Amino acid sequence: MPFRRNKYQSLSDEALYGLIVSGSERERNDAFEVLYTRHSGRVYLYCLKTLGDPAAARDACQDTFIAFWQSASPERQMTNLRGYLLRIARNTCLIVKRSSNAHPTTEFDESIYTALASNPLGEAAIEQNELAQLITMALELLPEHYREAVVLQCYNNLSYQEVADMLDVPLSTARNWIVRAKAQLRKILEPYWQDHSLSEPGEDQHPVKSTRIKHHE
Amino acid sequence: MNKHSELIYLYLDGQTTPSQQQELFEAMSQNPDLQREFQQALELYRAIEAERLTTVAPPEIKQAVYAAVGLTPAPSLVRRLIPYVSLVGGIATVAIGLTLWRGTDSPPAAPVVTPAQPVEVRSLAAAPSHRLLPVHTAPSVSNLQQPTNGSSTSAEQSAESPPIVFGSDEEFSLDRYTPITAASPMQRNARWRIGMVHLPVHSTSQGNSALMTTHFSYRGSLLSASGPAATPQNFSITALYRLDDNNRIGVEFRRAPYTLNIAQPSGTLTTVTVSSLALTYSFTEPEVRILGGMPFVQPSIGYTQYGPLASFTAGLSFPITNDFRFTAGLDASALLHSAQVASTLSVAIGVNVGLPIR
Repeated sequence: MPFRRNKYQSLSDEALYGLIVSGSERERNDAFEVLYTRHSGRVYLYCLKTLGDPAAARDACQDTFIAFWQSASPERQMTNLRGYLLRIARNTCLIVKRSSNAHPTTEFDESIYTALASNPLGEAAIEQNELAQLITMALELLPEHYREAVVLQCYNNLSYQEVADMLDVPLSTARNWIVRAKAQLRKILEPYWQDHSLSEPGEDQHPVKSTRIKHHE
Repeated sequence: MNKHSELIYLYLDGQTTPSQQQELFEAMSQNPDLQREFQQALELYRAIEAERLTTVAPPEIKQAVYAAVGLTPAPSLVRRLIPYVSLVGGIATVAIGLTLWRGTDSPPAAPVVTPAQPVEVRSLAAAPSHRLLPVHTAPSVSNLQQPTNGSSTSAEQSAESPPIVFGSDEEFSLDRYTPITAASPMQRNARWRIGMVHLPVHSTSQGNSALMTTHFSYRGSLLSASGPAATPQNFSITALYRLDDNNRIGVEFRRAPYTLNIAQPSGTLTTVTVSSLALTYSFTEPEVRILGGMPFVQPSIGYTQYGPLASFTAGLSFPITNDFRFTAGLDASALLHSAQVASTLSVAIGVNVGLPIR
């Protein structure tokens, strides 16, 4: 039926994984569809914030789901599929980083700004998009372990304990990394908020365009 | 990093105890810099939360993943609706066409004849078979309204053919007329029309065939470029309405494999089994027998979730009874997807069963 909804949407991740490894072709197809819809956004966001480059993030996200599909096996006991996907994504991003000599270079996307500026309802969207891009750039300035901890906790909504498990460090260490990472992010972005709050009507409405963040060598 | 700054982030993460919260609030009430830090931290959390909730993976990732693992993404709602809209549109078109066609069977209005105007009348009663002879007479109106048996009168003919006026300079030619044979039960189908389009149809009486038939055909692919050599889902099922013994129209549902580029822009090709719904027309010639079978052709045109599809089937139909036939032939189809054409060529075998509607 054209309006038929995927009947597996109410199933848990683990039940869907069971269908993928032992279901019929139709069940595998539908179960993977639900899992992809459920987790692709977070996996992509993790890759994007970790790698800083949308193209590399797309490739890493794609490789993550392909690796997930290829590794699906009835012998594997799946208890935390979200964590499993993030582990694959993390390994994929590490491989991408090691194979890439270039330092991540995120630049302000003028095309996005132009598109949003033409939208009459886009003022808030512009601000939100500006800040999102600045946060992405600021994340690149953090130490590797800080960035990873804060991306997992903020963008993937993991608890402190889950972050600690993922990074294989004690809970107190994970908590310190997350708190210090956020404090550093705020400090990096402080000029933006100061410019933003000081801008007068008629002045440059988008001070972020003149904001430049230099990578630490 | 001082203790109160740390408490800000622990508080925003819901990790503080009530006593820590109290300590933080008291410190903020006395320290404007801490208030500003708290406000900026809150903005940071809001921005991250907004991005987390609104970010979706770009669609090309899904296409690439599905192509790589060999799955078929569920079509969008619009694409899923296309076959159903096509079916409704096709049925409506057929219904309108049949209505207009049947409308020509009703007696036409009597023409207004004035004595001063020459009127063309053709009579088949006295004419040799397959031949029309114009008769230059001036009949009364009553003669036009009451045709005699076995004759095709001027009223019906003049409504469809240009009148010939004797005495004019125009040269008479039989080629200007559609030959009409002597009256028979099938004679009414000698000319039928859909809307204003008149189509000459060669009609042969074949007895009491069913008005509706279904046809199931299973195919084996011949072109490796269009998919695996054998696939369990390569078939079609068709519901056909009999216009006459030669001509049928209907709706066809088809499943067939095609190799498509469904992972653009990365350019990955993958073989998918495609469903289509099509309008189809079938022409069978009962008076010609080849190896005991009647030749038929059946073109179709329709939609799939990936794009428009056209197909052409030709073969032989072997009648077992009036309403049951075996068919065998070749089937070629082409699917247009993303400005590229995917095609199949296959051997089709099937059965045609008449439904008890006469």
